[in-house]
Amino acid sequence: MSMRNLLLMCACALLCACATPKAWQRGHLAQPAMAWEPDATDAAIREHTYVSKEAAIGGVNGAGGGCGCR
Amino acid sequence: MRKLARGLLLALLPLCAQAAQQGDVAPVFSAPALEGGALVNLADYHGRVVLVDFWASWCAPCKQALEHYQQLRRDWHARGFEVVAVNVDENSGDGRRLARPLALEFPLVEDAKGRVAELYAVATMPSAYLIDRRGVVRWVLQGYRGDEGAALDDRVRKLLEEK
Repeated sequence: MSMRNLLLMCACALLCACATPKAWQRGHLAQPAMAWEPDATDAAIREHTYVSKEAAIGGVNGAGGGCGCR
Repeated sequence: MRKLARGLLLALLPLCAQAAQQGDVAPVFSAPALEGGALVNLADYHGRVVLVDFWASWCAPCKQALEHYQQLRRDWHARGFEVVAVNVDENSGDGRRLARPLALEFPLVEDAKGRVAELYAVATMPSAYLIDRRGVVRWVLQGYRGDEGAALDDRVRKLLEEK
């Protein structure tokens, strides 16, 4: 591999736009709005409804029969 | 071409930065105090056992750790122990808002640009570096679970006994 190709590869590697934030740069990621489920109660209710409605076709846990009484 | 290659190598060097580890000489830093005023120099604490703690307002365990270190400092300060807490909030006001109600008695440092954190290559929040009287990192505490109390207390006591 020629020196020029090697340098080109290094330059391309440096151009990568994806950077992992450092541990001390995660303030924005730690905001509540960034949580997968910002509201735990709301998420539990939604999951319960989903499981109740979709159980017949093998929903999240495959439990219940659509009545929501599991 | 050779100059270009040298330039590229220099550009890659920061990617190889090593975290401050047990046995390394602690990187010395000088940074503004969180509440303003004079600079805080780590070198000023040479000869003491120092715990350098990295914390942020958005990091829940950091607050617990600060409260723990406050108690630890109260217990051992008279024998030569000090805590230097480095706040890495991008907005230092957030750090001040968290710290004020805690009435922390040790030096608080502002590091909004993360220069000091970069120097130590902090991998986890919070992280604390226990430094002996000669300025050598003797223990690195990554994260904070709340059960470090006895172990940390024991290590501080042992380091204080060293001359």
